[in-house]
Amino acid sequence: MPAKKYRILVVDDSEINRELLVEILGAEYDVVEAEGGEAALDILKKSASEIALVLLDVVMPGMDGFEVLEAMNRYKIIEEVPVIMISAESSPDFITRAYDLGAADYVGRPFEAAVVQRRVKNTITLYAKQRRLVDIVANQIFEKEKNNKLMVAILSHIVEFRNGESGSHVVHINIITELLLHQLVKKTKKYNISMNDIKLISTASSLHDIGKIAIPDEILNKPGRFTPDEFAIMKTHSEIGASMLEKLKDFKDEPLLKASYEICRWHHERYDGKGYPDGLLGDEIPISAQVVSIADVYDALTSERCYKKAYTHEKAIEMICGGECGTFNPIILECLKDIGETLKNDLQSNVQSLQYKREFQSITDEIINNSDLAASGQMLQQIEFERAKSEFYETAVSGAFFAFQKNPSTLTLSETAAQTLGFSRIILEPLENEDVKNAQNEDCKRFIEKITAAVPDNPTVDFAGKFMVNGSERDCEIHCQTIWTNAENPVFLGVAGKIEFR
Amino acid sequence: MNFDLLKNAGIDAEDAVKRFMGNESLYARMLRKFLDDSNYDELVRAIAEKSESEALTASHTLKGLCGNLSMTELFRLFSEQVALFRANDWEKACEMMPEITENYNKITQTITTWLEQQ
Repeated sequence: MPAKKYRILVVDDSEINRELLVEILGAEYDVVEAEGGEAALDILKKSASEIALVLLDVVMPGMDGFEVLEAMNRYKIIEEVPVIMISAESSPDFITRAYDLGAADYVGRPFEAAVVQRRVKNTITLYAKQRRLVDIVANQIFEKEKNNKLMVAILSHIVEFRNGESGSHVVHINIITELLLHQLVKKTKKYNISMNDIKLISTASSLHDIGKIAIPDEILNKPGRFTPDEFAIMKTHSEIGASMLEKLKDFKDEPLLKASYEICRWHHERYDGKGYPDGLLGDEIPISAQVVSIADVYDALTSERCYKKAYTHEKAIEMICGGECGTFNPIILECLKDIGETLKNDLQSNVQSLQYKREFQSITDEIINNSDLAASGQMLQQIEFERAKSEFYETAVSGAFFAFQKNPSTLTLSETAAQTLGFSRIILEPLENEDVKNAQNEDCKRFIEKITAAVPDNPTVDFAGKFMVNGSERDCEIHCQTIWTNAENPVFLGVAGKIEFR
Repeated sequence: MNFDLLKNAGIDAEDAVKRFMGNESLYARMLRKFLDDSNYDELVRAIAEKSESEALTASHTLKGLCGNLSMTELFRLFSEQVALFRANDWEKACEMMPEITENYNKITQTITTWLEQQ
């Protein structure tokens, strides 16, 4: 399978100009032509992800080059598909305007063919690298976030266990915090909260009470009212939690740690300055801590504790808004009221579906609200689409499929494959994984050798042999394909294929 | 290929071929295309119909084509005309047409003759 050619879209109303560019670039690229701006935009809207570069004339009848650039901005295509402007126009005003509209480069007419070839190649290489990088980073962030969440969940449940709480408090705070923040972003831009911040703050919210680990049992789990001395000790948990985090010097720049610190230390501050430990006033209290403090109070009121019964949703809202639990930021109180229905109906009964809704909401919100992300919205959609597609194929043919990606080293298995082999569906660093290591036998090694020997021109590997399946050897056939980069010197990316168990 | 005939008509063929990475036959093909190009007729029509934007587009495209094919004199004339159109000096831009037409005809005739010789 020869490497696929990059596709270039040449937009020019003059046939000679197009033909000249086809002559110059046709050998190395798959060149598509458009006679004008409208036609170009049609092609881009339909298949931007297939276009590696646009060569765009400025002066054209109908929609001109600048209007195409503007439209590419409007449809957020400009971030993904680089544009080189080509024009006889040499005035600095024109060139500046092209760059301002997001053109990657500007070539004046008359041009040197060799220069055009080189600039095209450079621009494509740069953007291709960037696209791959975005994919890789997205992958790694996803994995990292999963691990973060797991660790945070373990830690916060230890605290809850000791508090004698049900374990749902942390989950609730997490959900309420996230819902409140989403609502807050819709209401005001004042706090400059990104979608990433929302994820961080809600993850960090689970740690708000870790300082309680240092509070003596008899105080922590005392059923009745605290004496003033006991209350003073109890109040130290926020400072203790914060200083525990502060001592993690190696991670002091981690955003998750910063958010957790703010929340631990200041989730008992109040908007009127009457909270503790520092008596911060108004927006001196970080927004993360402000939101978590309301979430904390709401959940404490609506849950049963050893010293009290659960209040109804309505009663809790009434108490919070009436100032019975201290003064809060009025905007966040509004947000609390806004999300009231969701809290009331779903929080106690249906945490699972709420979590699902949240995930969904965060994806759409992210695309709508975050301009940076919206820029690559098309790419996100593409990834989503591919994911959905492969999931569908997988279930439709119910086979055992696998995909190995070299960097980051990840083995992904279909449901059937994972079940049959007794592996988890996603294995990071599979070569280091105990389950995988235990399953290695002679045929397995031969199979890996065969894959290692595959070349881009002959990327498929068919293999029959005995593999360890759930502890015993079983006859299998594997049909797979190695995957390579499109570049001049193809680089091995991974392998995907199907296992048939005999 | 011998470019003397073209050179005498004000076409710096050697410069163009150099920019075409030394590909003489590509240059010859592009010259043939130039004869079939409709932008000159478009320009004449647009001026007759007093359509300023269409005249500018055609003149601008011709400027680019002549530049790429190293038709030095014609490139200069179209550059000047584009500048006049841009400055909204319709009268002066139109007044250039006799000179442009004369030059354009000379060039196309020369190319035709030259292509026949190849």
